[in-house]
Formats: sequence, C-alpha cells, structure tokens
Amino acid sequence: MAYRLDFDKLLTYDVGKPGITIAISLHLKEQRTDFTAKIDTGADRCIFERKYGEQLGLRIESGAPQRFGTAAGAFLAYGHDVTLRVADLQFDAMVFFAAEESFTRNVLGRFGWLDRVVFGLIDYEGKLYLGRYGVE
Amino acid sequence: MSVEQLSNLKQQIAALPFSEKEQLAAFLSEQLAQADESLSTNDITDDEIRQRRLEWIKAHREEYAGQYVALQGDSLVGVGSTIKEAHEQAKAKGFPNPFLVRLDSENEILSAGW
Repeated sequence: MAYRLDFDKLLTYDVGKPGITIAISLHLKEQRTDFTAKIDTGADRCIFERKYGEQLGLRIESGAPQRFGTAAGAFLAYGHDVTLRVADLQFDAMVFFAAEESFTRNVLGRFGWLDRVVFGLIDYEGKLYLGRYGVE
Repeated sequence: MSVEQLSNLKQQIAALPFSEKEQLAAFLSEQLAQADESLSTNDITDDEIRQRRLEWIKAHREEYAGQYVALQGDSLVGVGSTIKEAHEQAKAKGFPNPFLVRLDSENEILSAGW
C-alpha cells in the first residue's frame, strides 16, 4: 500500500553539517528576531537562547518556569507566548528561553511546533517538507 | 445582506412552525453570544491577550498537567490528552483558531533532546 502526503513548503538544509538546521523567526508585537534552530524530535518543547527572548523585549523570568533534562544535566527555562515562524508557516505557541546566558542551543521540539505541522524528511538529499496541519 | 434579502429571510422565518422557530432562536442566541465574546476579545490588545494567556497557564498548569488546553483569550474552550482532542472541542464551541498549548507540571523535568 502506498501513502501520500501533500506539503506547502520545501526547505533544503546542509547535509554536511551536524543536525538538521533551519532558519526560523520569532515575533512579538513589532519585534522580530531571526536565527537558526535544529529540529529535535527528542525535545519536548521549543527551547531557545535567552538573548532571543530578550531581543523580543521579554522579561525572561516572568514566564512559566520549567526544568529540562539532557544527558549532561538539567537546566531551567521560562515559557513565553510568542509567534513562531518557519518557512512562512506561523503559529502562536509557547516556547522556552533558557535562564542561563551560557546556554547556546536552539531547538524546535515536539509540543509547540512538531505537533502542528505535517513533516517529511529526505535526509539523503537534505530536503525537508513542511505543511500546516489541518489545511487541505 | 441587502435590506430586501433580510426582509425575505424574515418572511421565511415567520412561516416556520413553532418548533423550528425555537431551534432558530437558540441558534441565533448562540451566535450572538459568540460574537459578543469575540468583540470583547478584540477590544484588548494582542499583548494583553498574550499576558492573560500566560497568567492563565501559570495558574492552571498543575490542574491540567499532561494535557493540552485550547484557550480563547484567557477562557478555556477545550481540553484533552491530545492536541486534536482539545482543538476539536474548541472548534465544536465555535472557536476554530484557539491558542493550543500542552501544560506540564512545574515539578516535571522535560526532555530537551540531544
């Protein structure tokens, strides 16, 4: 049996680099910040560096506190309601900003991003297909 | 809708049996309530809505930990163990584009991946 999915967007990424890294932007009122993030299906949430939240004008510690664990230990982050945009697909979502400035990773995780897109991957060719779930 | 179209619609409604008029009245009341809620939401700024949502999430995260909630402004319009379940509830109540978020206990340590 064959299965078929339709996608709105095709992104390409550099297969020579570690991780699947794509361009994203966060928006809040008139503020906008652009950077790259790695797609990580093992991350429960979208987690970004503190500086990107501050660039949106957020007081990081006013958000919803949450601890996250990695193989190397745990860290604290704060959840905020922002607009997350990837390849022209945008959602209002709760994303997390690390409390510590030394935290330098940016990941698109499951709750808040993966749970609202249709996602296809051909890593061999560095192709990432994306669509908004629920749009015919 | 033009005045003529509205007049025609009223004539058609006047000709309906009582039970169908009752159904129509209930439907219109529901539509008016939703429009009223929508208007009151539009009166406040996007920033205020986000702030209210965040406060709601902080106040209710333990109550709904492990579940998705659908919020319209700071009103709960759907809840479920999956995003689909929460969204479907919100849509059934007339809110097709709610803010959808999964809540977790503050005491839970979530996976950051890698």
